[in-house]
Amino acid sequence: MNKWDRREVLAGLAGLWALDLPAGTPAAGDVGVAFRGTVEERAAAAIRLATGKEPAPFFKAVVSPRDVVGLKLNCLGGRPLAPRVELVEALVRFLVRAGVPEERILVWDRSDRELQRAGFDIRSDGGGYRCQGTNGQYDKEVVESRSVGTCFSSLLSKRITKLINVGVLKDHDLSGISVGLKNYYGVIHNPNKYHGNNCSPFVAHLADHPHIRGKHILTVVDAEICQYNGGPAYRADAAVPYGAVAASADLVACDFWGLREIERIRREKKIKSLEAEKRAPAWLAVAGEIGLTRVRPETLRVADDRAGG
Amino acid sequence: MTDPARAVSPLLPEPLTEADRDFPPVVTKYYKTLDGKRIECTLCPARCRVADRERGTCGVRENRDGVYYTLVHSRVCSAHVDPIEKKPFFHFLPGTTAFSLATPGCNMACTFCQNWEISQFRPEQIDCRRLPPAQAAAAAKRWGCPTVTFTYTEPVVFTEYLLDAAAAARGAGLKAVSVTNGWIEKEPLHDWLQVLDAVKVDLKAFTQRFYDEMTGGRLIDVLDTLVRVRKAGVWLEIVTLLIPTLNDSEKEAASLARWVMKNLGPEVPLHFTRFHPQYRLRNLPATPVATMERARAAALATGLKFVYLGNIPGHPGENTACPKCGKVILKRYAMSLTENHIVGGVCEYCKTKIPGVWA
Ligand code: SF4
Repeated sequence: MNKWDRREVLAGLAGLWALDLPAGTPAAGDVGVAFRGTVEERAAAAIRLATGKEPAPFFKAVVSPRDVVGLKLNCLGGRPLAPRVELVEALVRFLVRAGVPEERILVWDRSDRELQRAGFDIRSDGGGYRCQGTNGQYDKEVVESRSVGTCFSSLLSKRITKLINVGVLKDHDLSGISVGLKNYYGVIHNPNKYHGNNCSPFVAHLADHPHIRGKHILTVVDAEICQYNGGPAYRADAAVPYGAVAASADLVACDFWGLREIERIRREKKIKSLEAEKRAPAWLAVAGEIGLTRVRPETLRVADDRAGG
Repeated sequence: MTDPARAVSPLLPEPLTEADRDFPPVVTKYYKTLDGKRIECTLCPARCRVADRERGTCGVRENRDGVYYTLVHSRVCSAHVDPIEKKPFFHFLPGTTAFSLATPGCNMACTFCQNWEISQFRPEQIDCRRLPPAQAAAAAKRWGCPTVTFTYTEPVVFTEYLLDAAAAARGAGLKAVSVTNGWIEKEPLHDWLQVLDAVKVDLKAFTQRFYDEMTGGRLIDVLDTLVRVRKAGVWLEIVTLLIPTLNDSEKEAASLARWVMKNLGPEVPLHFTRFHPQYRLRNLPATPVATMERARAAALATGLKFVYLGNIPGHPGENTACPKCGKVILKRYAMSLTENHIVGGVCEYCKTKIPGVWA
């Protein structure tokens, strides 16, 4: 497959899980997935498996103490389906160990309220890391990112210099999945305008903006549960325990992995695939076409800490 | 590992946003329930299918646990006293003022929107004030406005507020009018037409291609609205913004005017207004006046009696001429009335009846 084609990408992903690959590879993968230990240990293992480095050296290599590091959470699902505080605070500790001053670490989402509903305390000043919502503070100027015209959260455009995407593993009614890239709909003022055509090509086109593509250093997925259907809100009857943390330094690879896992679980649950429901994430192929990823879905390498027993 | 089912307690019912406390969500009647707590909005032809916790394209209607709410009832982001000519209504109480209201949001996403800072944002992103219907009517009276106007953003997406505020206005002896893109479903439009005295529709262009590429709406639905408003006997005026190279050809102006002539009749005023670069469409120049004049001539040639030019202060195309004697009977400058020679709904000079709402 030389060209990124929606059907081929999706067929490639389907083929990948149908192959029943070994649970992992010892070397660094495109995505690291860790199931063992505490939340912090899983986060560290996922980063190690994805990058070949322990978290602190990895962060030391990609951030400087002068950076402001933003951790964009996906809190829409409320406490059951948002990144957990323990995971986020583990990432903060890794960054601090890498030399980033705590007050230059900003945990954020669309609003204070969403963060609070997910269990986070708002901390806009004082000691420690910062945690706050955009709360309507969007840039006054509209900017274009391919087909998307929008105003970015001023936190991202004016303060944050390095970006960590902290998502969850879930189905999305419109975009098919919301694992990595879709989380960036939460950094613009008008996400609803880009829900047409199952959010394609818009999810990819938005991520191509320098505020995202140019600042992204890591995607981390809190896969404590997998909501395999009925997203983006939490639905207990369509969620299963998953018990992992996943990570990738690639902007898109976690989405390939997440799609594979969601489709696998949907198959186990004997419900239609996203493709059959006409909401397969075609924007993934667009992401490939425009060069957002160096990973190809048919050769996606998933490094798993359960490999070898 | 946490059992996901045990963690559900922090969910609803509780306000989803801080702003809910000041602007309580109101359940809308314009939706159908689907499986899995999803809904289909039936307010406008976008027919958004909205999952739990999500909003439709307009960003002002939210699904909470399978129930659909409007978040913008009485949530006013803009309120001004304007000349009615600014809407523009040229055949509706000329020379009077309109108490003009908007709440945030729009069901389209026009790349050339002049009010994008309120129409393209979500309600919680904008500074709003609570203005319940009775207070809106009282404010209009206090400011000496005979009309309450729903305008600036898109009244379709605040239909529930429009219906209540228009009824309150009428109850207070005022009139109520709406300025709209006309992209609305039949049932809510029917409800509108019970409480409104006039409607101005922005007909964005006369090609679906333009609607696809520049607005996110659908031409055929807007044309249907025009016919329904006219049939209901509610006063109707039409505005088309002419944008260089996109919808400003003489041919398109003539086709549009022919359609109006055939389906709505010669007495419906048609306004062509001049584009100025803004929002996402900043790479085009302002529309040349000569282009505007050609479009007007083409429209008049189809038999339409009232074709106006807007955003060109001092241009004779702003004035109303009597279709019989040809004399100027309403003279305007920059959307304000300067002379009125209509008396009792007829031309002061030749006594020809002039269509419109004059008292
Ligand atoms: S009113 Fe809003 S939610 Fe309803 S169909 Fe139109 S755009 Fe969608």
